[in-house]
Amino acid sequence: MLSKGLIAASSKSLILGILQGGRTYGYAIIKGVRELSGGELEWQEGMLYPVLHRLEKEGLITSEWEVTEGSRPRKYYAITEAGKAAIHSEQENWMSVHRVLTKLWNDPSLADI
Amino acid sequence: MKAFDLELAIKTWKRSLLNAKLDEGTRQELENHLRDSIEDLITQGYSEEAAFTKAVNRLGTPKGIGQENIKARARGNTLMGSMVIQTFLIQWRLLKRRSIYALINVMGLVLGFACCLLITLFIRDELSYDSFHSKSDRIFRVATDANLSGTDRSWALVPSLMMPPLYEDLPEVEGYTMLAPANQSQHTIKYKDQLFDESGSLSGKVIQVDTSFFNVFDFEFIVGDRKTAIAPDMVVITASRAMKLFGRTDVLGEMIEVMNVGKLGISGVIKDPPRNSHLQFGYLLHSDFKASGFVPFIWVRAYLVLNTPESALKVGENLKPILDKATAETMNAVEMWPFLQELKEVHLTSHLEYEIGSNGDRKNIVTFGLIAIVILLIAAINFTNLATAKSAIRAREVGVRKVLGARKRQLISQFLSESITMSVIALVLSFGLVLIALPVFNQLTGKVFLSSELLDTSLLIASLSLALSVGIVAGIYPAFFMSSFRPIVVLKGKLTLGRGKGAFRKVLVVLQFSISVIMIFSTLVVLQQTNFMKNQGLGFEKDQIIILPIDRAWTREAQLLKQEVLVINGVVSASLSSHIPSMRGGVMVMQPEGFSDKETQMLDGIYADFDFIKTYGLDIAIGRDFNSELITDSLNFIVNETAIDKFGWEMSEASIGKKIKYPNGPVSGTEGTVIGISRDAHFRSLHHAISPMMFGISNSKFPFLGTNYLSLRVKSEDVTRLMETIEQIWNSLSLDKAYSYSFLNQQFNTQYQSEEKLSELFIYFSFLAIFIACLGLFALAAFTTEQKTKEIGIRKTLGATVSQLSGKITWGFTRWVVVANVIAWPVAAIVMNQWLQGFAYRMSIGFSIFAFSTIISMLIALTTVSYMSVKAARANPIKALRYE
Repeated sequence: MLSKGLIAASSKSLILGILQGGRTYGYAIIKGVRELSGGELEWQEGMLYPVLHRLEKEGLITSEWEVTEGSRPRKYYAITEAGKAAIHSEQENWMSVHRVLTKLWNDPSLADI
Repeated sequence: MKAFDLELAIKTWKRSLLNAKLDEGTRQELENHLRDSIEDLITQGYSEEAAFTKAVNRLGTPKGIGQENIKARARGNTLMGSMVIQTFLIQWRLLKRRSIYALINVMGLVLGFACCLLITLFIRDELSYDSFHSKSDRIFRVATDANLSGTDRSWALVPSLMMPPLYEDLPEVEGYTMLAPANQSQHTIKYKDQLFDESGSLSGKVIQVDTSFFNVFDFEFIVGDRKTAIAPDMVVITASRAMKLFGRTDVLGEMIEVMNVGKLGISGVIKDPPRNSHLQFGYLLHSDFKASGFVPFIWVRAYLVLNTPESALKVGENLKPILDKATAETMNAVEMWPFLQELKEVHLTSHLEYEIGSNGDRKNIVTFGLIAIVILLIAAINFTNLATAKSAIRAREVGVRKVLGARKRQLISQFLSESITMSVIALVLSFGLVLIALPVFNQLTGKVFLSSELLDTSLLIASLSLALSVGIVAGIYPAFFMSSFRPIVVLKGKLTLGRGKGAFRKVLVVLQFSISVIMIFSTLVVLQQTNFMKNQGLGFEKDQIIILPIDRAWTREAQLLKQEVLVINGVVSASLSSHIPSMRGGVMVMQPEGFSDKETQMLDGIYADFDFIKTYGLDIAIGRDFNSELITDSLNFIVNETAIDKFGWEMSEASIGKKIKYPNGPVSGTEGTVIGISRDAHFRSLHHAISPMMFGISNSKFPFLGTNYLSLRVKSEDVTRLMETIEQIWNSLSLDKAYSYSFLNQQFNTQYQSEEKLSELFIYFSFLAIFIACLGLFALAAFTTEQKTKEIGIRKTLGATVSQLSGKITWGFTRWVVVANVIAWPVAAIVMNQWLQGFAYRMSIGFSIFAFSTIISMLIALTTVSYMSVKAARANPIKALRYE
């Protein structure tokens, strides 16, 4: 299980990443993350929505309610151009963290700092 | 056991969402999510109940979601909302923790704002005079500058003669109206055998007006036709008078009798003139202001309506030629220059002779405006001072916040919004305080402010923006100061506050106290000048003199009354006269011996019986008093020293026996002999220089000025009983006038009312200013001694005594008060000298005023600080040292 802080920090990248694959609704995002991570990433599911709303305010995603016959109305989220751009910078951030950590853990001479 | 009902469970869960701060859309989204999740879990083989429990757990508690939501929103656009909540919470916690400082801070501001609000009400009211007339910006009053035998005079009067030609000759003049207050003897109103004395009350004033009065002014009718209401034998009365006389307002057609005018029918009832009208009255009588008998013309107050405000310039230029033409035959000796005054400016700027009422003064507005600013300044300084002083305590908070990534800008805005919050809270509280203080304030100012006036939109907006700017101004220095702390330094506890940065605080304290000293100083000067004026030897007897206003028409009854009253034990002397001290005499234009044919001298004349000089104890310097046994004395004069000086005569026996001639009027050419020179006496308040005066004998041949007063010099232990006896005599004579009397010294002192009001207001406001300054000083002292607990502890263990220690701490503060005094002295002296210039007779600012204001301010400061310093010095040193 990942720590709350790390999940919170990564939520933006994860959501944007999933939405890049197509518009979808909240529960499907949670499901997607769970499946992708093989159950390692378990969100406090309710926390997803505030994050979604924030991203929408920041203009990275958009949303609309969709009503189809015989099914519940669902709020679908889709990524915007700004969101796609944000994925890049998110990628770079995580990669740089990743590189530093990899270096740190693989090079014993650096471990004493 | 009941079976599990999924729908019911979901419903219950939904309801619990209502407590969390979520919008409808989010709630719907969450419900969908829950249902999706449950369906999935059921397909995986969970029971309904287990699926529900697991799904709810995965989703999280509603409260948690709500809070998370707030945080998420706070990071977005709605930052302000949560900032305010956060700031408020911080403020509240601080308030609880350091309640004394917070209290002092808020209290000072509340007082400051309350003063400002009250003063604003006052100033707004003063500025609003006469603006309620729909034509107010086009109405102008005509007044005149005159040069009478070398003396410049300015009157709120014009000769009635000039008004019709003004209207006919100048197309810019759309209309005009003339008015004149009825004289004293026309202020008794009779309704069905009941007499009402209206003399001396503003709202009962009787005024004569011409028929166009209501074309110019907008006074509102309750009943009656404004076009025809002013007519001969008719009277228009105000609602308050209608209530007084009849107890109702639908009194059209009722008859009342105005004494010495006649029986009049009521043709209209109007609302009382608004408080902010310079014209105040209770009865409007008709007059056409046509000259008759003795008088070639009537002096009137005249108002013009112009087509546009701009044409005032052109009309102004044409006034003099029109006046000169109109009065060519009647007034050759007097040169006059009429001029226009804007109606709205009359109340504040016009202080001419013969104003119809007592006007306000622009100087007072400036003075009170300054006081408001000064008090607010003192309160704001408290705020700044305490905030920087408190910074030691908050340094750690700043350090922690900075380490956690708060940027300087964020901290500044946090501190600023804190001070703004404080300021706004103080504003709200101050409105409450103003409500409480309003009755007292009304009494002080003589105005009637209603609490509803506080809810005026513009006032609310203005005060809110004031509170915001005070919050910003007072908070900006502490905000920049505190946000610049370096986290490492403060967190290690190395920040030494109260040393270097203390200089700024000291400057502010000195500034506060300088202002306070100036206020004390000014108050003392105003008080002393008022006292000086009241107690100055006037040159006549003003105590033990009782004045009975009588009727100019009943000379015979007046004589009778005088004789009967004189018999009473306790009445020493009595005199019938046209005027009494405390008012101007009648204006007499005379030609003293030695003047050429065209030259005249203006004098204030008092015509009385033979006992006037004796009754008032006037001092005859050269010559003699009137003697009733000498028949020729009825033509003779006594003049004062100033008159002799104006005549260019010698102040010696040589002037006795010289002649003074009446150059015009019905007795033109008649001469009288000067038989005595009286010492100059202050017949009017000490604002005025003594004018040249002449006393003559009133008789049937010279009834110019009438007989309006009976003055009694009394010597009695029981004045009340004496006055009752006189009342019996009055009633037995069945005179057509209500019995009333006044004491001359009281009447005389009403001339100092505005100074008294001013000094009273000054005392209140300077007390407040000093109080607020002391609050600040107290808090600062409390804080500093707290900071020095350790130092005091060590000094004490090393053998310092309580008195040494408290002396040291006290001196630390009071020396700044000394500095403040030194700064304040010259400023106060210059300002108050300026103020004193407005008095013809004034005290000089002596050493005692300087000494007193210093002593008072020192005492106040000492008392404030010494409590804290003694308390600190007496504390047990062990506690202090262990505490650290």
